[in-house]
Amino acid sequence: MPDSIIRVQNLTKSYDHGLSQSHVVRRVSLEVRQGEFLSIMGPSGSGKSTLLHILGMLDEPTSGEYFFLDEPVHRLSNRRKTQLHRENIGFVFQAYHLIDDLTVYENLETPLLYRKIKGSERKSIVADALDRFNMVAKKDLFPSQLSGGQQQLVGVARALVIQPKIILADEPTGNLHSSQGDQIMATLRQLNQEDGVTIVQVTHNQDYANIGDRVIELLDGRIEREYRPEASPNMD
Amino acid sequence: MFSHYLRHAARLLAKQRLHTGINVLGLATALGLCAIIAVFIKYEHSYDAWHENLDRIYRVDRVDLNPDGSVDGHSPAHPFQLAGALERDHPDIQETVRFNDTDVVFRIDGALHQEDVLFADASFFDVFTYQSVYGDLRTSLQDPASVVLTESAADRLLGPGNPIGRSLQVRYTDSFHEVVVTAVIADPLPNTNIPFEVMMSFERLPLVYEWVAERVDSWRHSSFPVYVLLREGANLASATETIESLRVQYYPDMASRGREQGWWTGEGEPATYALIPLSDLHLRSDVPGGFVATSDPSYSWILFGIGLLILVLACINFTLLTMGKSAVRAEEIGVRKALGAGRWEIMTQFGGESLLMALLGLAGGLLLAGLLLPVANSITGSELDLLGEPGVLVVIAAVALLSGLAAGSYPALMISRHRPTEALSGRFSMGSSSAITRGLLITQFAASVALIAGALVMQAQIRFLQEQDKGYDPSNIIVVSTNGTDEFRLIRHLRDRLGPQPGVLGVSGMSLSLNRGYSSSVWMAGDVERRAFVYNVAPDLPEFLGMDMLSGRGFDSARATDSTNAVIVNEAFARDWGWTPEEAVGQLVAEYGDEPEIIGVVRDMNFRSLHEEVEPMMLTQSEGWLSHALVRASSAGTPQVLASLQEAWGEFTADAPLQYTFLDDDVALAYEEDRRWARIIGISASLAILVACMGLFGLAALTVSRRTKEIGIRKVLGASVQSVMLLVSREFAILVVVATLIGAPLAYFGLGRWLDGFAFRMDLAPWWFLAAGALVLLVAMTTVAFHSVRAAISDPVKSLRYE
Ligand SMILES: Nc1ncnc2c1ncn2[C@@H]1O[C@H](COP(=O)(O)OP(=O)(O)O)[C@@H](O)[C@H]1O
Ligand SMILES: [Mg+2]
Repeated sequence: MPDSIIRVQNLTKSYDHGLSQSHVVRRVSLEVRQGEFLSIMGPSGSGKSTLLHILGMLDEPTSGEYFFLDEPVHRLSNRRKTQLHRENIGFVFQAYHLIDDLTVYENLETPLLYRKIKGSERKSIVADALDRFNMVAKKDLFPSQLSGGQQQLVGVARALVIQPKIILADEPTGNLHSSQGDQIMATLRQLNQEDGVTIVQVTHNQDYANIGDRVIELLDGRIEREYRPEASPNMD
Repeated sequence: MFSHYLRHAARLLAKQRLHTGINVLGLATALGLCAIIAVFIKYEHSYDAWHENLDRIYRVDRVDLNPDGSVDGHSPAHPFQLAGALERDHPDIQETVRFNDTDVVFRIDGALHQEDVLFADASFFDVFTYQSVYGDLRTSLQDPASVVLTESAADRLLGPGNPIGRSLQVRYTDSFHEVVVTAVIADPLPNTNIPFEVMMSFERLPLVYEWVAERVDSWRHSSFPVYVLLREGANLASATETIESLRVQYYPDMASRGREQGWWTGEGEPATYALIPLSDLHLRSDVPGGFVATSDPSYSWILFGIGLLILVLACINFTLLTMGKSAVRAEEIGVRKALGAGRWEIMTQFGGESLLMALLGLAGGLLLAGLLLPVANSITGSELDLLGEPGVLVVIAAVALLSGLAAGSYPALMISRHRPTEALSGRFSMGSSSAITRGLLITQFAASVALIAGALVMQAQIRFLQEQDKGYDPSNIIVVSTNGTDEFRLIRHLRDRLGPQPGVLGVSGMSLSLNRGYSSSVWMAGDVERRAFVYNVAPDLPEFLGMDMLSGRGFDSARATDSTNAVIVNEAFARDWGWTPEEAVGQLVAEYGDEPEIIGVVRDMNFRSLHEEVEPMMLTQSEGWLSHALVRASSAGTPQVLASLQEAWGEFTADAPLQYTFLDDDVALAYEEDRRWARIIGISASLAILVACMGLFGLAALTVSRRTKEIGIRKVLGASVQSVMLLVSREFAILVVVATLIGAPLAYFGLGRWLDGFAFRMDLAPWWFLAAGALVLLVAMTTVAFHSVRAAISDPVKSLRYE
């Protein structure tokens, strides 16, 4: 198994606006090791979400190279990319993005459907996840019947059911009260430490960032700073 | 997995009620119509399909030729002897059946019934396949005094139970004879070229009718249709040729007679033969019908086109609304992609939802078709049956699924194409502004405009025909069939009995009711072929019908020669002979009969349908027979006159029932086909605009909801209610105008061709098309107004707060 799960080289993302161009991600090079917990920080508009989407194969870079588990994503067919994505990557959104017209149970089931997992196995996986996140009683509720914290918990659980190698979380606590946020962060940390899942999160909260092994700070689409939390000035 | 998607789809359908309702209703309307049309086409194409020998049964047609060798027309009537000769001497012909159909009066338990009887040779049941309820069909017609009934005729005439052996009284010419019921058959399917309820033995004809007896040995009179059963493996071309040579063998002097009499100037034989397959007969509009009119196969295709058109309109709604709605589903699609869905999974999900919608549409459509079938039957005059056609149902189900796929695939393709990030940020929308949406909307409205213009113009043309001055006054004339009684005595009797009554304006008689039938004569006068429609009339008929005498005089009962050798002609006749109406008076009609003298000329009247130009016509008294007595009533007095007529008839004869029609109805009969098509186009136009407007309703709802914020801001900035309504409506109004520009020329072209079928046609003024466009615009704007008014009067603060 390769040591690095993600390796990007000179990754760039720009948008055309007719006459002008805006560069949102500029020549970013970055490596994420298996089992690492990486936090991405930076001011609003600095390109954090864009970078995370590219890493999660939800978006395409304008140029640059991207290796996922040593496979050159930038050269793969859409079909292979979808396959890599559906088997390895769990994504958690700031806005939860649960599917409104599906129950909690069905939301959790959805990624398993795309992985073509058979009925009985699917049932037991979803049941485990519901159990683990204490949501058995809520399995038949619709997202609109849950609080924000509960919704995000479903979001995390949904990212987890496929037992991904990596979870990409874009401000997972951004819309939550601090106590709810703490619970989500504890869950992510536990996943990383006990299950060995690689985690890349975007956060504005320095304390949450410090939970990780490493922090990078984006500014204007460039990596401005990179440090390990032990060495962070805040910890001094 | 399937249940996961199904549950989700069902929830969505229930939640987006308007969207679902419009799509399902539109599809149901279209599929229901298609189902009916499909059943109709199947019905039209399966005439007589049940006969076991169908592929070997042919009708013998004489093909009359012109001197230059081209075909003049087909005649399915033959000499009495032809069938016998074919059966004896034709190696390929196994059986022949001669027919004759006539109205016959039955007396059963003292009551008179007039029945349309088909006389057929005893071989009938060997050639054609029918199911016996009582009696042995093979021997049922062998006795000349036998009668075979269908089950419903037996029920109607004799009541329930086995009627075999019962004897009925039948009136031939003027005395009653006995016939015996020998068999009852199950009611045959209605789509047949040889419909009958009462069948009697052809052998009986020469025994009871003088006119038949006179023709038994004659090869010159052609009166009887002949159907043949070819032997297995017979060659059609050689079988046809053999008929021809047999005719020449038995009737060698046909051509020389023709030359003598002047109606044949060609080199060879004046006629050949053709064998028309029974299976083709109904849709052969180029030959005369069997015992019912043939139908033009292009009608089937026009209906097919209309069904397809409305289906396309419904699919367009489906596509447009699904694309419009896709903005609402953008987030879901993005999430699904983030969860590992590939393009294929998204496409199949949306495709599946479309199929589900199509299945609901199918269910609704079949229900609708079931409800509307009686209406369709009354319009087309057929007996369609939906459940009896499993093949058609399968086809319609396939069409439903295909439509669902076709209509859903474009949105599915578009929706699945987007990157998840685009979808999640809601940065894609496929709203009403895209070129495709506009194109589809324009298509819908162009079709609506064209169909509505068609419906308006067709109705107007039929009104135009009815309001045409026909050259006579057909109102309130009761046409009484003389029904085999002594017609001159009848007319005298009616004159005496009804004439003095206050409601009666006149009594007269003629040989054929106008527009119902005619007898045309063709003869050679010198080198010129002359043609005229000849009506034998009572002397006062011209005044009775209100004809305009242009020159000369009417018939005068006091002059003996008027009843033997005088004719009144119309302008067209005079024109044909190169005379003015004044010049024509006093001329003799050369080489016709005893060369009668023209005593008067009447203004051209439309004695046939207005599809045709007025042709030369002669009124005469010399033929000595009348088939109809005419009674003109005052408009208020008609019911009374009918009652007295019934009474007078009863006094006149107990041997025949009274049968009458109104001349107005006889005249209208000529336009029945036109009126039927006007109705069909009218209904199609209504359905088309209904479906198009349902789609518009949904689209307008989407547009308004998408522009809620913009409208809110405009209102805060002081926009008036009218200006907001205009904002929403303008876009749609422009589309309707463009659609009118496209649909109107199409309709103009199509209607021009339809109108070419009339000798008397209205002007195709442009304002008909403007009216159609305006009507569509009005309906479209009313539809949009429902939403635009809501948007315009909504509270702006509320709409902004929701954003
Ligand atoms: N599809 C797009 N078209 C144009 N500009 C975009 C698009 N997506 C994002 N941006 C711009 O890219 C910049 C970075 O956005 P984002 O990655 O969301 O930043 P962050 O997550 O750090 O707040 C922003 O200025 C945003 O406006
Ligand atoms: Mg962001």
